Amino acid sequence: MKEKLDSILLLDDNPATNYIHKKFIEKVNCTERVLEFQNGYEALKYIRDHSHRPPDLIFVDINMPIMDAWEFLEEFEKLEEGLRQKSKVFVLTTSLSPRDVEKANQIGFIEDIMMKPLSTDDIEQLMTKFF
Amino acid sequence: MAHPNTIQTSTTWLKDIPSAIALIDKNFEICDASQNWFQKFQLEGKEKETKGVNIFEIFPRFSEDWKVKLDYVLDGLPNIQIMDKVETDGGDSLKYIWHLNPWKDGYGNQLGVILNVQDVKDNHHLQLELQRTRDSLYQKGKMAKIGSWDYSLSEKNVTWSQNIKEILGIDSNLKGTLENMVTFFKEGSSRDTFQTILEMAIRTGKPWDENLELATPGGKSIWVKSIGRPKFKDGKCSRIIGTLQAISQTRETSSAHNQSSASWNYDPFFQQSPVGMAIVDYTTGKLLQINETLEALIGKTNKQLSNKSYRNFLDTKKLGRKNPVTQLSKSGRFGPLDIEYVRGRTKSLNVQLKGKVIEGQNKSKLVLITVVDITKQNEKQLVLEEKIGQTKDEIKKLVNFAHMTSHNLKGQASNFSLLLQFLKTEKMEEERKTIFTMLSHASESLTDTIKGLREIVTIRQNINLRKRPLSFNEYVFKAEQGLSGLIKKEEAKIVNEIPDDLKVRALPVYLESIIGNVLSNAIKFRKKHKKPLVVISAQVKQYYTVVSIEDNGIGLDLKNHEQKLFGLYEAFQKENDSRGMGLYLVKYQMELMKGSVECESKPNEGSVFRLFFSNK
Repeated sequence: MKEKLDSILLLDDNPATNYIHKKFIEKVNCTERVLEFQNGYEALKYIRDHSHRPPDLIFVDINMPIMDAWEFLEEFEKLEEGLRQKSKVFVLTTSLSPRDVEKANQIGFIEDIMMKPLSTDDIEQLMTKFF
Repeated sequence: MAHPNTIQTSTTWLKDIPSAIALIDKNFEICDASQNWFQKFQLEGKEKETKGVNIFEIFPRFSEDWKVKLDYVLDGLPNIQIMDKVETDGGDSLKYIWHLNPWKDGYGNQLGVILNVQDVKDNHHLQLELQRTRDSLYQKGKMAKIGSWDYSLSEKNVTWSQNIKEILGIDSNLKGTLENMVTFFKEGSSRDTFQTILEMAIRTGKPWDENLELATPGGKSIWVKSIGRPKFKDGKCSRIIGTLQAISQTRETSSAHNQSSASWNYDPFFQQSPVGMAIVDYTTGKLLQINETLEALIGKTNKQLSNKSYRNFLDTKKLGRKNPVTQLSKSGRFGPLDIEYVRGRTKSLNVQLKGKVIEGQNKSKLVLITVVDITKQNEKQLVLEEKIGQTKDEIKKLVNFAHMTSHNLKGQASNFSLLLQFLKTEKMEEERKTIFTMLSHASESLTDTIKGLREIVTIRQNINLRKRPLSFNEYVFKAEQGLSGLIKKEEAKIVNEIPDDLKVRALPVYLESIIGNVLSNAIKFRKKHKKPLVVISAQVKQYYTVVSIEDNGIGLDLKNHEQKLFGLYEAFQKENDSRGMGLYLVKYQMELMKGSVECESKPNEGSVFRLFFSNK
């Protein structure tokens, strides 16, 4: 595991979920910064505007009203390759549906689907495996 | 097992019969005879040698006419009698009557001919009977429209019997040539078939039995049963004996002379059967008879339909594998075949047909068809299918609903629990405030979800209530009262253009909920610097009353969200720009009332929600 990531981006329309995940990430102490977004458009704008410093890890909730995970990832895929490849993407959900698993499998750059809320154990394991 | 054509049937019983009876096979060879018969023709003691010998060898006096008549019997004609006169060595003259009848086995297979001989001197009246028989034979032939023809290959001429001339309408001066005969068969498949089977018979000796169509010189079309038997001499075909029987007029013959043939009787069972029935001629496809039940069902009489082709009722081209003609030719049966029958100008019936080939008089092929009215069954089936469809939709909705509810409540419950844990351990005041805000938010969200669930339960409880005409404006007023706080806060203006007498068919609980939800959304999703304006209008159409609720709010990007606008998941999203559970409930309730809801909107250009209330 790397010493510490530069940033982790949280994208969930429910601020409570983002808050809880931020707390756990801080507890694991695996990143310098936690970026919270409740809207996919804002998250994309941030990534584009900070192309020199893209997030190392992105957690995106599948079900969001304005722009869901699939729409977000469709736009994310359009970003420059260098920018996109820098971030590892995980999708989050409270219940796994076969349709979601199938969709996730179709999108090559998704690392995994995970159940939310994430725990500190989940985050530690993920860090060990991917970084 | 004995083959029907090889005579292995036991004939031991014959020996003791007091009459003079002989059995000959299809080649006219003696199979067996009674003792009396052997005695009568001085063959006593030569029984064994006689068996297997051709009758024409035993009785060289038998003329060609015998062959023709024996052929008639082999073709199934019974009770043919021939006078036989014998000069004895002593100069005496003996006269016999030979009764010729078909010899069949227990399965109805033709084995040969039964010859029963009677002495004329023993029975003087037989002479009279013979004359009567001749007349009768002619009459039967005439009535059954059976005629014979004989083609001699060496002389290249055809001899036609009187009946055949009548059947064919042949001019008595017409030359008896095969070419002329061929032209009587209707051009096309009938003529081609006749030429082929004739050629085959001459070449291989194969007899035939085919139904063919004739075109008479008078321009008439007649279907006939054509039977032909080639006769061979020294390995070569020398002559062909044939019969023609008109089969399209057999009904008349049957009623006039039903003693001589097994006939199809339109018996009381057929007439009084509670099931609709029809008899169709297999060969011509013409309707011969329908029963009373079918007359009542289709509203036409037997007389109106008699002799009409089944094609008037059934377009077989579109039926493919279900084509009854194909099925009948393969298996002798067809159906069940469901078709639509248009009775009169407007009434349409769904009927189910089943058919089976049966044997009519003179072995003609008929099709017995049963016709059952399944209109009501179909209607019930449609209602049932609709109910099943609705139930499936309901189940699908419930499964989705259960899934989304548990999913949503699980998420919220987890958040609650985790936030409370944080609160317990958090010391910093600022952070505790943040957690409190989060908890408060989660609590509101949970309350809204539970409220939504209760509304859905209410909807389901009212699902069986009947719609009734409701004053639309009365419910707009109720909704305005319910939303008065929001209207005041947002300084909203509602312009209602609906006339007071407008009524829509709806359930009161649903209508109240629908108007409340659409109005509150129209006000809530306002532009920041523009006071909300909502215009309500209606248009009554033939099948629907369309109510439009238009606002000047922030609008929606339908290009990306049309599918999700009324979705169940969106029902649980209570954040910022979500329309909440309201629109899900609006759509659900409108659909339960056989109506629908549509949305027209663009970002920053307001929205129009159109509610379609069914007028039924």
